[in-house]
Formats: sequence, C-alpha cells, structure tokens
Amino acid sequence: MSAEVRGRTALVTGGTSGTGRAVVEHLAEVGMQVAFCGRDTERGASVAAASGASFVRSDAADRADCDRSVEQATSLLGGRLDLFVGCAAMIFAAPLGATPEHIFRELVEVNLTATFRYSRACFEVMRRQRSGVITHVVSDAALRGIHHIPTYSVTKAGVLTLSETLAAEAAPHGVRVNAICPGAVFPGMQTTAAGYEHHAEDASTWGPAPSGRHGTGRDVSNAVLWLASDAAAHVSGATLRLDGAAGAATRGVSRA
Amino acid sequence: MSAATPRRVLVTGGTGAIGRAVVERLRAEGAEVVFSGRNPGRGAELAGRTGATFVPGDVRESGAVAAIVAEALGVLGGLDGLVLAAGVLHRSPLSETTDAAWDALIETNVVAPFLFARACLDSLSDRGGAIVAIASGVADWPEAELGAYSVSKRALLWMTRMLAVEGATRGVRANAVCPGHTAAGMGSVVEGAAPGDRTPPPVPPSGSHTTATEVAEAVAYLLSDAAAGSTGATLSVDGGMLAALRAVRVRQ
Repeated sequence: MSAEVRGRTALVTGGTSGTGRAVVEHLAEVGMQVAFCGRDTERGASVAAASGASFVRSDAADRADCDRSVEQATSLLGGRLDLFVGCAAMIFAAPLGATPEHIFRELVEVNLTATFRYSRACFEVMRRQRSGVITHVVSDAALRGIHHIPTYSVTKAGVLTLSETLAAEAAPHGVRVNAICPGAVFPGMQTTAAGYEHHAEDASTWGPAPSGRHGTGRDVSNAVLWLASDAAAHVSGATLRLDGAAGAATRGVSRA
Repeated sequence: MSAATPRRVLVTGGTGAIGRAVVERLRAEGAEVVFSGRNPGRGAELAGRTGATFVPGDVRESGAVAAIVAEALGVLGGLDGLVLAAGVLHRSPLSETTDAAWDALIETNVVAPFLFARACLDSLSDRGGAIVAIASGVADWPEAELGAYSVSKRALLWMTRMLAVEGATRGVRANAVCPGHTAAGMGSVVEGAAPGDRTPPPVPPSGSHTTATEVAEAVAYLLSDAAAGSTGATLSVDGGMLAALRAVRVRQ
C-alpha cells in the first residue's frame, strides 16, 4: 500500500497537533510529499523538522488564510494535489444553553465552514487533474451526538453530510471523498476557544473502548493511507467508524 | 388532541409556507401564537386572518433573534412551544456554492435556531415546553444538488437531538419534522437558482408531494401532550420517500 502512494502529494489541515500531526508524520514516513496547515508557528516548525513535510501557516478561522494556504500548498507540491485530509477542528464542552454565541459561531467556522472552503478549493484542483482523494476526519459525534459536546456534535454532523454530498458530486470527476469517524482518540482534542481551556476534552475520565484501549493517531493515519490507496479505488461516500467497537456497543444510560 | 396543544407558541419563519400552515393550525386549536418572518405583507395578512401576532424580523440580522423572543415573551407572558420553521434553500452543488449562499444557509438554518433555542430554554422550562424544528429529508439523504442545504439541515437535526438531551432534565422536549419533497413554491430560495429552474422532484410512494398542511399536522402533534413520550425523535413527513430511496446509477 505504501509503495503506490510514494511520491504522491497531500495537504493536511490541523497538522500541528493531535491526530493531524500523526497523519502528517505517517504520510511523510511512507514517502508522500506533504504540506500541512496549522495556527501555531512553533509547533509547525517542529513537525516540519521532524517529518520533512512543509508547513503552511494558516488559521482555519481566517477565511483568507484558508484560500491562500491551498494555493500555497499546491504550489509547494508542484501544482498537483493527490490527497486532502481535513483534520482541523475545535471542541467546546458545554450545554447549548450555556454556550456563548461567539463560541458557537467559532466552532461552526472552524469545524464546518473551513472544511467546506478547503474541500471546495481542493476539489477544484482535483477536478482539473481528474483524480484525487479527499478524506474528512470527522468524529463519532456525527454518528451519535455526544451530549456534553453538543456544538461540536452539531458541526461534525454537518461535516459528515458535507463529505457524503461532495462524494456524490465528485465521483463523475474521478475524485473520491470519504469520512473517518474516530471514537475517543488519545491524547484527546485540546483545541478549544481561547480563554475557555477547561472546555477542552478531559481524557482522564475516559474508559477504554470494548477493544480494551483508546484510539490513537496512528489508527486514524492507517485508515487515511488505506483510503488514499488504490486498494480503496471504489470506496467513495463511505463513513468509516474507527472506534474499537465503541459505537457498536452503545446502550442507554440513566440520566445524571 | 386539542386540549393538549400548548397555549403559547412562538413560530419562526411564519411568513413562509410551512410556518404559515403551522400558525394556522395552532390558531385553529386555540393557541396563542406569535410568529416572526421577513415578509411584512404576508405577515400582516396572516395576522389579520388568524389573530396571531406578527413580529417582523430577519433572523440573519444581528440582535433580531433576541428582539423577536423578547417581544414574543411580552405578548404571550411565557412560552410553551417554539417552532423553528425559518429556513432557506439554495439549489447548488457544494463546488458551486458561493460564500454568500453558504453563509445565508448556515446563519438561517443553523445559527439562528441555536440562538432561538438558547433564548427560549428558560421560558420553556417553566411549564415543560416543547421545541419542534423543521429539518428536511435531506438531513437523511443528502442531495448533491442541494449541497449546503443538506449540510445545514443535518446540523439542525443534530442540534435538535442535543437539545432533547439537554432539555430533558428541565422538562423540555425537542423533536424534528423532516418534510420530504414538498409541493412547489414552499422553500425560500437564496440567490443563484430561480424556483422555475428546478426539475420536478421525484414523486414519493404515496403518489403526491408533501404539503405544508401535512407538515403542520406533525408539528401540532409533537408540540402536544399526546407526544409527551417523544423527545429527540425525527418524524418524516415524506409520503414514504425515505423508505423508498434507491441508489442512483449512471445510464450507460
């Protein structure tokens, strides 16, 4: 699988931390030419140095940044884009009734609108090439809402539909679009609204999935690589739940 | 069912086809109704005919939601039901969706319902109220030609479920109605596609397209005490379309 993707090009958003970082490192490790976006210049430089991938500083909440970074990355990659992986996301743990308007808007912007803008721009490049793969790293919150992170769940449900809808549109152009829905991935998503750090994920309370452990960034990057490979040539519009059977083992819980 | 219909209801998007049918239906049951909408002519006509109170307002304008809710609470003196019927449609695949159209759909179909629900939760909690959101069949079966619309309606459906869990501890129910392919002229369309452009939607197994009256019936049921056991539910009003979906194949 890795032999055939060697030399292909990829753009990854949210690549400076967490799952996105794991994806950048794995794609680079198997010989892909990788560009990645993120907000933090220091972390970006460190991931670039460790992986050999190119860092394009970009804030997913900044629309001009989104548009510019796709152009910049495509140009860095020699004008060709074989793979786009959307990982950038932000979380906020509070009931809707206690979520400030600007935070709701920020999550909609970063999780949903930025994914739309990146996907739209990358699809344009891929449509011209008549080939390409788009993979959205979504969340199991899009498959069953998670009530302590409702705004996140709402935005991720939107991303899942975006992924399916784009798959239908892109298929005749030789472009495949899929969604990966990870369950709890350790070490958890820390990107939350500035000034609201206690609303990030608290992984200390998580029990393991039925598989006996938490997901890892490597689990996600393995799936990203498979979906990018020719082995997945007929896979498009698919949702890959990646959660160690957690979603297969749900049950009702008594209210707190 | 009539005795159990909530007494005081706020309906958003009351000047659109579905919202209007909801206002008519609830007034026929004797509920006190305040409705918001963008079209002053249609609002005045509906208010005059039904006795409901019209609050003009565009939910996309900053501060509009707070103003509408404040006025509704002033008129009604409390709130037993909230119907989220304001919505806009944009007929375009995602790759051709402009920033302006995307923003219009996300603001109207996702952000405004959040603002309304948040602003009404406390009042609804006082007596055990109900929220009904008008989502869409495309929340279940996204359509490539309705890219951003499908995304926004899925998000709204998910929000309704989240509100159901959150509201349950406060005695508030939240449910969604998903109309299928509706009779012509029902949607408020954002720039880019004239209603006349559309190819006729497929006819569901029932033999006819969903009407606003049918949607209003489902809304009245979910608002009423007859539906006391349902929260976080999705009620399709689509003539069987969801059950009859078929994979699309390209003709050779």
